[in-house]
Amino acid sequence: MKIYTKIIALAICMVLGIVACQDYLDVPVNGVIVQDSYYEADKDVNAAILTAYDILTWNNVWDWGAPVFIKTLPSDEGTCGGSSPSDQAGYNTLDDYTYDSTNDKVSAFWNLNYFGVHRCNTVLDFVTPDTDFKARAIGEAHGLRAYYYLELVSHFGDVPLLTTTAITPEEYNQPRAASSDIYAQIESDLAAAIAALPEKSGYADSDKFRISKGTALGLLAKAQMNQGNYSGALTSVQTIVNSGEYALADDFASIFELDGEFGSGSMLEAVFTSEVGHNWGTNPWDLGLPGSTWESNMHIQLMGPREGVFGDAEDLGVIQGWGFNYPSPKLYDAYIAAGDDVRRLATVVSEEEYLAAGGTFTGDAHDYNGYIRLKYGSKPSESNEISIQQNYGTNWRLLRYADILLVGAEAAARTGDENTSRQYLNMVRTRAGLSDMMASGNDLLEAIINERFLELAFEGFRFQDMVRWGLAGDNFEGFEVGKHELFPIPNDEIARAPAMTQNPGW
Amino acid sequence: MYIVNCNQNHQRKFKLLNMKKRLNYLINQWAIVFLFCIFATIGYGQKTISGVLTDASASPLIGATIMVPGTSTGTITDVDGSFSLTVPDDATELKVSYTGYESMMLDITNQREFSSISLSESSALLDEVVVVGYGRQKKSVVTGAISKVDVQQLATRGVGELQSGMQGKVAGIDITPTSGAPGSGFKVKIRGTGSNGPTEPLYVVDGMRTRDIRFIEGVNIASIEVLKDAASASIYGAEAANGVILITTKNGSGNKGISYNGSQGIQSYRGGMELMNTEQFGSYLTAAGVSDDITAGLDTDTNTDWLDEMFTTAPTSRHNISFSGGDDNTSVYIGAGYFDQAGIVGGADVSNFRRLSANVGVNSKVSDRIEIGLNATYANENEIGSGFGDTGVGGLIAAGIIMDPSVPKIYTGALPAHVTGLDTGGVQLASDDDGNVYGLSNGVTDGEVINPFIYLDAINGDGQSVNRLFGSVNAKINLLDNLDFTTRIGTDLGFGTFHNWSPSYYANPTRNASVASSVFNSVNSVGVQWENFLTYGLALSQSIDLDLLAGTSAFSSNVSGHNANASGLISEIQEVSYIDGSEADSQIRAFNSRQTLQSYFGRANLTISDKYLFMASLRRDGTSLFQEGNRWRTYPGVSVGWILSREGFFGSGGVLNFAKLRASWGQAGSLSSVSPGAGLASLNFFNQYSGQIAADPSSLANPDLTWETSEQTNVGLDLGFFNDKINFSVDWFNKLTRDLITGGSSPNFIGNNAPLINAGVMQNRGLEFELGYRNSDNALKYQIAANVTTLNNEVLELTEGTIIQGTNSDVGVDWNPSTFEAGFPAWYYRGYQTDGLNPDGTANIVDVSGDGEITPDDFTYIGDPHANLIYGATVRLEYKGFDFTVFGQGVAGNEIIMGFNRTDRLGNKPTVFLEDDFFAPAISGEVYSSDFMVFDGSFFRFKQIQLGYDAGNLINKVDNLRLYVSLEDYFTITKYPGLDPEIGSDFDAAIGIDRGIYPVPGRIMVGASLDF
Repeated sequence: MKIYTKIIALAICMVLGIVACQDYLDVPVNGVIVQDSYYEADKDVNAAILTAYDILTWNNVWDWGAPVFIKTLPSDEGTCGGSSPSDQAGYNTLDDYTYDSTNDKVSAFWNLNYFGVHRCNTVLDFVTPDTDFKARAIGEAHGLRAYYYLELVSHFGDVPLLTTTAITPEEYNQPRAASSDIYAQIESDLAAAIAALPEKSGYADSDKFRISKGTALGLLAKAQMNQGNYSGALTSVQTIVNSGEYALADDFASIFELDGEFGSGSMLEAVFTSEVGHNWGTNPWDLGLPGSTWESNMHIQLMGPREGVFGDAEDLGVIQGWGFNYPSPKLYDAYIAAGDDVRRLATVVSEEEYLAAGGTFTGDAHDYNGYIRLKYGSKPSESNEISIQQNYGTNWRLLRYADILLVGAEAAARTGDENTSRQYLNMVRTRAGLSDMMASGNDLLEAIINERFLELAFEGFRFQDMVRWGLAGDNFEGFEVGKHELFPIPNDEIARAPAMTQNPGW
Repeated sequence: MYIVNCNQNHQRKFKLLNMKKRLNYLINQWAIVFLFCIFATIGYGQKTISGVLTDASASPLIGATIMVPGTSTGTITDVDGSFSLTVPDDATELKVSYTGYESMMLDITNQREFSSISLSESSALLDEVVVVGYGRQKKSVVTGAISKVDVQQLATRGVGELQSGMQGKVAGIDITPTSGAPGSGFKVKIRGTGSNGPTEPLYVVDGMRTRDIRFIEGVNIASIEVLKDAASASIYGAEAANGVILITTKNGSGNKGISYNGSQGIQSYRGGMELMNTEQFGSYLTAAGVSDDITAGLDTDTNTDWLDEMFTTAPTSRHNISFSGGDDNTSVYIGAGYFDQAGIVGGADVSNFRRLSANVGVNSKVSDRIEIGLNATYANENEIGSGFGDTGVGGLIAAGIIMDPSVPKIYTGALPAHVTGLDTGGVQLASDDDGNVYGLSNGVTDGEVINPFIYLDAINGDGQSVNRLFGSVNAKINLLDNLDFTTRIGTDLGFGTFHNWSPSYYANPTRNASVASSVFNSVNSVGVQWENFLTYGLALSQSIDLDLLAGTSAFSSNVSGHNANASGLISEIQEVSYIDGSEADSQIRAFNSRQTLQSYFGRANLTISDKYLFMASLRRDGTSLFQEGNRWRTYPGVSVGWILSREGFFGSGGVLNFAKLRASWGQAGSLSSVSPGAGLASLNFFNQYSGQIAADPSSLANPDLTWETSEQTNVGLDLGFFNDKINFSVDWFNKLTRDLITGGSSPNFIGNNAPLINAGVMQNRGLEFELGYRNSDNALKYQIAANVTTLNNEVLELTEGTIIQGTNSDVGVDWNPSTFEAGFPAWYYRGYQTDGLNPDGTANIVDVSGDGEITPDDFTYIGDPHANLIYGATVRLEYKGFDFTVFGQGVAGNEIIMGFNRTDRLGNKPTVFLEDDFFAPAISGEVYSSDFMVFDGSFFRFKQIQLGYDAGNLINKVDNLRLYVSLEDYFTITKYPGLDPEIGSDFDAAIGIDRGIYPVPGRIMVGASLDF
């Protein structure tokens, strides 16, 4: 009888759920690590700061969109190219000044920098500086956040200022902060970075990609320059020069090749790899996909001479790519005028030179004006034989000592310290095999402007410089003064955050 | 051992006898106190009444109620119509009732055994029994919108999936193959696109839930019911928002016998699309202003029809053998099946689906009060070429469509200069079995323009292999006379692997690989469900019946496995393609995902005077997928019915013999767009920087994430005419899906992906008509069934300013037409609107934004992917052993995007692009992102035309022989100029996007069924 009582009791209990386990619904979420419980060990903090750096290599996440190329296109260094104006139309319209607030590349540029900011904020929100490593990581996060905000403020002007990840859906609708507030944040972040970070020499070889005290000072110099704080910029540059941490590498051409990675003048690089051996199937086209691993630099392939039109020029070590980013005659002529063969031969060749080096050219290529780019060129020596197109390991050189010296030269010239100015300028010229420049006054400034053109071509600084100097309207075809100084705020962003406003003219 | 066992058995039997007595006693004890037993009484003496209940034609009436009036003492008749009931000595009569029949009082003063009690029908037929959630109901008293699928033809279809045979059979359900490739699945939508995520209904097979029914052979199906309205479905609350399909497999019958069913068929491409020939392609390119170098590269002596080359005829076959038998207490059904379908692209080596299966259904009365059952199926499936479905842009079929027609399939003579001069990076050019190199285009070398045979060459390996074990065991214990307890444990086990390897290849400058690569994946899925429920039937008075149901359910699912891929195989042979780590580069990823669902449910059905019908149900579900505080949700359902034809004023003998009005309302949930960890701020570790692991924040947190809920109102009317020769049903429904789980729309400056949020409301409204006509009075017997559904889909609300572009619905690199936006149908097409042609032949794009420029700002509504009319019809005629069935299905009002015309590629096109008044040739992104690519997607397809002959016992020892021949999917009426208007996709948002669909093949089938 007892058994039957039990059976029936059990039946009823089962139906009424009395036997139901209280914790039946508490199942582990396997494979998911939640932020709240993560950032403890040094190695976890390392993974957190690396993800903030990783954004520097996200060049084809929101469609194709490499900041260095986006920043180069509106300048007079070259043209967009590709198969036609509709090939990567977002790039082409940037080149042609027909872009608008829906431009996917402008959006990508915006998104990348803000994703970078968020990842720095993650480190700053979650990491406690209870070990030296963590304290350094916090310094790196400050430095990187300043880098991303500097990119944003100099290309978009007023932008939303977010310094924490604790954002609820109700807080998504942020207004734009004044650019002065952004610069204040940048300077305070850089001060924190400078205080926390070692010099470049203090990093192990495998850590040279990290932001150092010198990097932070370099970014500070640029931020100060943008704000017209020339004496501040000069002081920052002098601190870098006096640190003795940097020297201009002897061979200009190799600076941009695998051999020259993290060389003596390198202050910050976006690190790609030729080692993984990507193929069409495994290339990490989208972010966050399994097996994404470490990216190769697909823009090197994108920006090689157009396949089917150009044949490989073996003597130059350059093979065909997808035909983007041809140099302008103006740039080539500037090298000739300056007698600057060292940098010309490392940056651009004419069609004649290309053919003489074993290359071929048949038919026509969109946006091609007779010159082929070699700086960041599609060189098999930069890749991996498994699939050359997929494995260019060329790093973007984001901050170089030569750039900083020229910033110092300009800052010095603008504060009347022409000796220092010429000293810095001529350090750069000497490396290029050019004679010392003795100019002064406006000629000195003109010389610095031209020197930046020659030294930094295709590195993404020309457009910003020219805007800063007020020269963009006279030099860039299609540039409307009062409008094109700043990129438009992406339309979608305003749609999602109505408190935002659009830049003038857009 | 034997002796010991014998003794034990003996002892056990002895114990059982004692226990039985105790049980009777105990049950009586319980009866006094039991919750539901308010009317229970116990007499001093008892007597047992037994009998058999039949209808006028002496067929047993199953499930009829026998009650002592005014008490809760009663029983129901079993499958033989017989009953046995112990009643108090002083009881004088029993009430015998069966819905749809006149109740009668049985005088038991003197008589205890009734060999045959015949009930007369109160109205005519409509006595079909339908399966409902956790039970059965007579169709005449159903108050929800439940359709029964005609399963008669399922066993003869030449397609491996059941859904193929369900197309067009019932109103309100839209079934589209995801592709015509063998083994590819179907998208089933009940009452429209009910979510921005997956819209698949919940399948419940013999009480066990599942999401995939491919393992079932049609011949083993006893019945299929579709629960369409929320009141019927909400008893499965948690996952019933998109409707529920109940499948019952065969359990065998008392008649011992063996049956064979088999068919063989030949399949072929039946579409009418024509591609431009070389000359036309050349003039098209010239007119489009393409560089002379490219047109000069065309070999004008060659004219390859790539569709002709690609499509071949392919066999399909099916064999089923089954045994059915049993005795008075036990019935058994054992079946074995073989199904094999080759693909019409590439042949069986690269496109094939094969299934071996075995199933068993057993039901046994182990005692008067205990019944146990088992239904289980094992299936072994192998699918080769599973990448042939709609995998997005750049698929095989699309490659064949856009391939340069001036290139031969193979070079039989000397290789042309553009091939010999190729730098393939050391890769040997692909060739056929005879060593003939596959053709390569000279000038048209854009990414996806690939010789399809080079593509096919890359398909090697074992394909997808699945071992599936699905089934449930149940025990039903009769606790009290009308109180049954059922416990049911079900499992759904799936073990699968996928293997493919491709050699190094060179297709064009951007599609090539210098090394061989391989993929080897596995997945193990284990679903376990335990359900317990009590059912109780009660006659509150002579005219009021109450049926109660209360139960619990617990379901857990665990999916684990690995994905491995490698490139740089040591040798280009299959034997080394299983990734042992010796490859130059290999990657592996494993996963293990768990979720649980816990539920309580209850239902009450009240029937008053067999005329007034009421149903109320409640289900409370908890899921592990959400965070605490948002886990539980309650889903109610209510419905009412009124059988007008049983009212006195209705009279009898009229043309209209049956009429019932129904109305229902209910809510049900959906979890299908949620995966474990949703709403958590989590990290992923897929990326590296500088060779070290990076911890990517994957999305922002949303701890408030909760269920997507659909709420539906349904009003219906069922009519029967001419003594039910004609049945007609109409239903109006209005389904609102709230709290749609969407990707959220945080501005990107937040710096992370937005979490999933609950936002948005979607509406599906429509009317459903079902008409049935049967006449078997004459030698020529006929049966006609037709159904029509109207559908209206609209996204009513979505977070302001949000436009969601579909996932995996893009057409080429630059255009993703599928758009989800408030005020429009779900996944409507968004692109440029055109207004005629300009004098130069280019299209005139409408400047919608009015800013003087044509930019994506001018994108606007250009088409609706949803059919607003879905219909189907079946006509069956029988005459002297011959039977003839025509069954067809159609849709109207939907539009298709001809997406294989890439916005960003030179490539061949259908000849319609050259025809007058249609389209001036111009290769421009704007034109290909415009309404020029939108076509009327209406079609009607004859799914099956079958002629059968019933040869009876023509052959010795064969009781029944039927031979048939049929044409399936053979004739299609459509204006769509693509390969196939039946555009499906695995991707929910890619509705009507034709990126080069693998067409549904037409089939000629011959078959036979034999009963021994």
